[in-house]
Amino acid sequence: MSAVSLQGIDISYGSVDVVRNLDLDIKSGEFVVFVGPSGCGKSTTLRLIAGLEEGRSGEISIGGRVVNEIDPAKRDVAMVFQNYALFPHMSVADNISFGMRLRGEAKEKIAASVADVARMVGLQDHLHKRPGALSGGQRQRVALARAIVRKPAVFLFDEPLSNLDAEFRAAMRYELSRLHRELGSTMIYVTHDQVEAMTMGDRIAVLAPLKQAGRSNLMQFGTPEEVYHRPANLFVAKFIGSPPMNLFEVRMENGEVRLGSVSLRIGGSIPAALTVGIRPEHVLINVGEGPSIDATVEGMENLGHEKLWFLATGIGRVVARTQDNVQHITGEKVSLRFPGERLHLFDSATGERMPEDSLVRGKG
Amino acid sequence: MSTSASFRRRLWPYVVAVVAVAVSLFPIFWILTIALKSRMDAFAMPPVWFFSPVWENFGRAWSAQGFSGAFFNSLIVCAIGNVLALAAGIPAAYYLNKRHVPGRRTILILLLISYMLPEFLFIVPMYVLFQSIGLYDTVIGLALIYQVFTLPFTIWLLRAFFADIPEALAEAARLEGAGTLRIVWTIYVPIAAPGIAATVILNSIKMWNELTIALALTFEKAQTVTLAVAGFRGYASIDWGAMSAASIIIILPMALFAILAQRRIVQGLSLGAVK
Ligand SMILES: Nc1ncnc2c1ncn2[C@@H]1O[C@H](COP(=O)(O)OP(=O)(O)O)[C@@H](O)[C@H]1O
Ligand SMILES: [Mg+2]
Repeated sequence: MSAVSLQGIDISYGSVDVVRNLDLDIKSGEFVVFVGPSGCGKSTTLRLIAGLEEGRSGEISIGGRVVNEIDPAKRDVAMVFQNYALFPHMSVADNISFGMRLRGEAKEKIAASVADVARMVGLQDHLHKRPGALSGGQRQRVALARAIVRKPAVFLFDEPLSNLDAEFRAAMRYELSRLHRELGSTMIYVTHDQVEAMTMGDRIAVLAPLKQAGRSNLMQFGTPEEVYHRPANLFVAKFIGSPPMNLFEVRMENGEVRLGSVSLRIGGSIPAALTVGIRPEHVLINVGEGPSIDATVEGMENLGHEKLWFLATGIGRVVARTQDNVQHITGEKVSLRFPGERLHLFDSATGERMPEDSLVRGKG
Repeated sequence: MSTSASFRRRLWPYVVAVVAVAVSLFPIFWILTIALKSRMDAFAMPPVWFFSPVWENFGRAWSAQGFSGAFFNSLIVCAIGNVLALAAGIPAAYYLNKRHVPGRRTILILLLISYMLPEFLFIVPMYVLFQSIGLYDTVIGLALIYQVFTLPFTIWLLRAFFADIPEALAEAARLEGAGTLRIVWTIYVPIAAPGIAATVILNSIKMWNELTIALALTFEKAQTVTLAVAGFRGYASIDWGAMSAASIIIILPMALFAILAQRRIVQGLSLGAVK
């Protein structure tokens, strides 16, 4: 049974469409990340699931139950807001127990639950404090505790780590993943940060702003491996990966495309214009035999564990990623090879990925 | 040299502040001296700067006919006026902050106009109306009619305070099952408490000092302090000593209120800045 299912969701603000034709099936216990550039409707979709936003059409189900008409409080979801949304005039304990107190649960039960959850997120020494007296990371934990204490079927996170500094973010990423394993609940996590998406998601839903999208905002829904290694379209290819995939627009001539001095044979039904892509780590510099592309080293960024090379070629700027022990000097002439099995082919007109068997023979 | 320059720089604000306080408090100081002087000293020319204070003016003022009654009338009018203003103003301010209230701007502008209209405009129609429905010369009637300025003022001020409260707080509460009434009562009101306190203080000062409407719509039972003070002007003579003492008495509650609440006012009026 799917934990959350969206069918044909359309959302608009006034006359402006924000989300269109969104179909999504999230399995029970899954950690799903909505990722995409700012303004693509991630928060709006999350808020729709929570019941804070109404769609124009479509069906929302949670745990097999259609919830379109169900009050947010009765949807069995808990949300962690981007700015935490803590009640500044209440202690940490009162923030965590707000809902339980509202529902009139027994004092002893509330105290026990609060203590449990506080221990889980490491807040036991701060329960009497006001949120204003806490650090950003601690506030984050209060927001988390307030969600956990509800024992919801589905957790909704809206960019919960975006206000933390980098060092702390990595630690919280790990903790959230641990929490997911411990609780086994379904979690939907919104972020614009592809690192968070890749490291945390069981599956990733890549969303695009409607003006860049076709019939739906949803560009791809798959595992991190699928999204990274088999991007469904140019949008995903450009959005996932840093530095991004090298992309070259090429034209067809007699069933062949030329990538500099290298020719590729394409089979099947062939569009007029193709885009060929290769990830920086798959570009080979002075490695291998056969046809190659001449390049000049323009610059290098040393990241310590690896190096990024910026190379000028006849087909445009190429970025390559190598191990840290590779040495070249600026201005040096090198030859680049693109292993055929590492190439990605897209129809330039539609942006869609070509079928996997399109590339008959990748040379060089 | 640099220290004396910086000393001068630090001194200036104090000089300005002292001058401002002296200028604004001088009338009160002058009234206070008259209230404390005997009849002889009060109008001696040149003014007597050193005198032995007497208290009889205060006794005469308080026991003057109608004065203590007017004092309590004013207290009650302020209390009822504030309760009415908050009871209607808090929900109104909450809803007028919502994006989807149609005609929101128009409503706000109408409120502002109502606040700015001069009081005497209401007097004639209200005199007739109040006479016919029995609100003439009642404290309830005064508290009601004062809503023409306290309510718009309350709504405008509270709306600004509420606007500083992130919408996500209400949404978080809603997800936990809180209804609108509870959200307003447990989230908005406590967070905006300094602002609400500031609003109450400013409303009270305005109602306490109001003269025009009170003059027209009360006669005896519901007379307020401003009228009582004016009452020391007899046909033939004015009891300056008692009138001054009465003025001091009626300043006292507001001064006390302002001193007690001064931190709240500052806190309230800068609610947005410290968020
Ligand atoms: N309350 C609103 N009124 C009008 N437009 C809105 C509102 N909230 C969001 N939008 C618009 O909807 C689009 C999607 O917003 P959002 O879901 O917040 O994007 P994301 O979370 O992906 O950054 C944006 O273009 C934004 O400007
Ligand atoms: Mg967002």
